[in-house]
Amino acid sequence: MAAVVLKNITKAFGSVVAVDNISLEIPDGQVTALLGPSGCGKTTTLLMLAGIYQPTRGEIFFDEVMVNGIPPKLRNVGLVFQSYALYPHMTVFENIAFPLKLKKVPKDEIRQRVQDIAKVVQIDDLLQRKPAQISGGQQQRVALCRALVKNPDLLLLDEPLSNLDARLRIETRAEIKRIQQELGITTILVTHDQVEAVTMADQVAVMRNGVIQQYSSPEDLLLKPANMFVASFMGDPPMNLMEAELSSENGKSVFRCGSELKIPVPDAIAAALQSRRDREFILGVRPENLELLDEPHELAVPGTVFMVELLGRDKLVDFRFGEVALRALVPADVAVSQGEKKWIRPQAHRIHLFGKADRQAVPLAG
Amino acid sequence: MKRRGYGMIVLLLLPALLIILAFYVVPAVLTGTMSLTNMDHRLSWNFVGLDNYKAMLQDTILSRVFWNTLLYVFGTLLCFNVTFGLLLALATSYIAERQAERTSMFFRALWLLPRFTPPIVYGVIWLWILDPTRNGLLNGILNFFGGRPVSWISEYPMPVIILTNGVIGASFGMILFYSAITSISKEYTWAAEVDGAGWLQRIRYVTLPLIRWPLMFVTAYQTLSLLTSYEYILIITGGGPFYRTTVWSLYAYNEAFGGYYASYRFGYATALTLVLVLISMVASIIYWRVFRFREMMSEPKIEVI
Repeated sequence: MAAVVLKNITKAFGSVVAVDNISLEIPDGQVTALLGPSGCGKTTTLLMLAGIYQPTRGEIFFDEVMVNGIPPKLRNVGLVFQSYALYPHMTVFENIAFPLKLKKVPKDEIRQRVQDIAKVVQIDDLLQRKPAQISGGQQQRVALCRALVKNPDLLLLDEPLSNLDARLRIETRAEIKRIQQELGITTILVTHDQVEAVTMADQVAVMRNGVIQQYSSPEDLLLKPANMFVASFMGDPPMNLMEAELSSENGKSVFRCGSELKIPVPDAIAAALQSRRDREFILGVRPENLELLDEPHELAVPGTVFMVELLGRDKLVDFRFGEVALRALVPADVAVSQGEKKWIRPQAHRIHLFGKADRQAVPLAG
Repeated sequence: MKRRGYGMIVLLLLPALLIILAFYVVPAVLTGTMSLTNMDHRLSWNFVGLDNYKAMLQDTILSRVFWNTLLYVFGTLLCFNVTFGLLLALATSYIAERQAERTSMFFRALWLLPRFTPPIVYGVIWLWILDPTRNGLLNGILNFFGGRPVSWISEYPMPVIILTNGVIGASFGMILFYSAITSISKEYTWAAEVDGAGWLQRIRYVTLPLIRWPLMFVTAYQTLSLLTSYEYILIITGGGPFYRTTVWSLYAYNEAFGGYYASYRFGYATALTLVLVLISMVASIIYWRVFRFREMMSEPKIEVI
């Protein structure tokens, strides 16, 4: 097991900078996710941890030992590829045994260890098959076995679930989590799927264009996004984001969003903004943090339902205010129909503000 | 409608059929027929039944030619067309992997040069390299280090023809193996590295098994093409000294068109070539079975998921 530290890591391919000066501390024995859209540098970071790529600048430490320049075979990491990369000419057994065979582990011990790990992952009845003769989910487990059989200090997973169908994905997600906890192995997971990151990881680093946007617990990513990118990337359905100008009307502060929407400012926020000079923000509020009321309320805005979408357990209720759209998520059993008039009240402590210029979160008390 | 489609098919196939008929079927039938005659420089069709085939059984030189052929084909194959071609492919792909794509390309192009060179020029270059006097390249070098000139061609005729054919032949394997190696998914390479494989182990356990179809294909294909190739031998050693480098196809050629043996025994020569066709067919069937080419036909040629 190992704690991993990345210090000012940069990786450039020619003039293209894939990873731009990132620093991360990855705690021992936990699952850490690198989350971001494709091309954000997350896989490059993973391959640097494996030793396949060498960082252009910066240092990587495993348990305070610098590993720059140490080749993959000496790093004792297990890596599961997105495509699994199982050797097609070897049986499942030979695939899993391969790392041990290269380490010249005695044959009996290899047999024992392969069978043990295969049992943990529940593929012990497939050992004599070739990869082409087993399903995608089983291949995934074999790849996991091959990575785990050498008792690695670090388990690296590159999009481990993206080649599986939806149902299998949920099962495998839980399965990997179970195995990880059973073995207590430090795990780094690369994914573009926020659900995967949030459900599997103890902490998540959101990346974009080779830069870490936020590194925090999954809860904080959703509740306290550090900037507008994280706010818009996380959450499904996506956060309502709109330009908002702080102004006052009849002695009360309001956010003017476009020409037709005026959102009353809760007192706590008004107080927090008092010391700031800028008046223009990006206002964000998640659909699940918008309450629909039948009666007027001082912090609610009146709106007419433009469209209702049923999403299984929830309904997505769409309001339009000129060019600005507001979407609210309510339980499916709430009666609401198109053309109906409702009062929309954002939960005061769930309103996010971002600076209009820098797109960084504006600190709001509470 | 159906009838018209049929006519169209015939029309489209006709040019190819005519070409095959004119340049393959007719010569094949003529050759077969000719092998039943004792045709010589007078070119008369004088049928003698199976006399030519019976003569082959009594031909004391033929067994020597047979062993020469075997040695030449498998020697060239093992030393150069497969092994050396593979080494070149591995070396150039290793260079390319280290971000030196241009260097790699340069070396591959270099090894293709012999193939682009007209055979007669290529042969003459070798004759100069191997010249028994001090004017030859090899002997010049030997002389520089104080050695005595060696009569390469008369002393080592078989290694000479294997080498000269191999230097050309290796490029075929090189090109095929190189493209097979570079089309192996990078993730296999990375997986092998993470699993703890060094470069040699990676080649042995991952690369070679993944390119086994190209390897077997090149072996089989080059066997057949070496069985019928004789032009460089003809130019460089002429089959000598005293039949020591005469392979089956060259023997047939010499029986027909002479060289310094000047025989013009067309009947016997065609019988020899027909037996060579038979040998090639047997070789193909053996390869087909041993290498399980039926599987190759039904699968992608390079195993990449």
